Amino acid sequence: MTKNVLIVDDSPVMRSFVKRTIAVAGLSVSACLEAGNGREALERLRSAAQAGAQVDLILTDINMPVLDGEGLLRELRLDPGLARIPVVVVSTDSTDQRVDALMRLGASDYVRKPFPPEKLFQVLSGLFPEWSAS
Amino acid sequence: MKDLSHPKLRNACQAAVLEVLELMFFELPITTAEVSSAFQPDSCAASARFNGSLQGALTVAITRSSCIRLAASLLGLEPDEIDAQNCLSTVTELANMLCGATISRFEPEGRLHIEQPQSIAASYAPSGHWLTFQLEDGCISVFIQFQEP
Repeated sequence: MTKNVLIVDDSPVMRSFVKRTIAVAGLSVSACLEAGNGREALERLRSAAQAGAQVDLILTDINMPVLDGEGLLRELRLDPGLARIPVVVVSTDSTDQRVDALMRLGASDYVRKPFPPEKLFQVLSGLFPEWSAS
Repeated sequence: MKDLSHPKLRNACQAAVLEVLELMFFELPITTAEVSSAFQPDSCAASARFNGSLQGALTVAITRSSCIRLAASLLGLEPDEIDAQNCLSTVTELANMLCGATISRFEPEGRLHIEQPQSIAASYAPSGHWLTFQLEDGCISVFIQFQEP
């Protein structure tokens, strides 16, 4: 089953790295959108929804300008049209306190940077078992 | 004020560099790390400030040839396809990851916020104790300094 994915990171190389990791893992993606911060991400998500192409998964960094990952999670949970989209946080900030706070805000899982490609694949396969079998 | 002359911080930084290079770039330094007072002048450099339980900054400098190769590895491109923006983005992301990986080892229970890393001219890089790792075509050097609360 193919998915629409949104990668949110202010680092263009990290967006490319995550995108390539998903491709190399063989996960079937129909559209891979990108955003440089949380505000851009919300715009992409709402545009996609209006176009009838609901995003199935968000992979987001935490420390970003304009609207950070925590802010993005809060805004997502307030929007009934976007609240159910799984969000995987991919960040260098991996203190227990921070991870707990993100999970309370509704993050589905957390991947600490740096990470081996298998780690991201493991997390995504856990969220979408049918994806790993495709 | 602590810097890389502090053994625990130096060990944390060394482990962080090895982890980032191996996991994100599939390579390891060709020699053990050395503490020096300078880095290669022909380098791309970036600095990441952090605050929380600890406050300070980490600076990374990487020789241009190595930066091009690491950027190519990260992006899945050929080295001759890498431009200045790719190098800038790679070195700032390196600063971000090294900062998180070092501080989380040095103070695992602490709070940490990393500000957006900024590229800096090599001539503005700080002087002091740098930890340098030789790569196959250059080197990567890290400087970190923080104030104790």
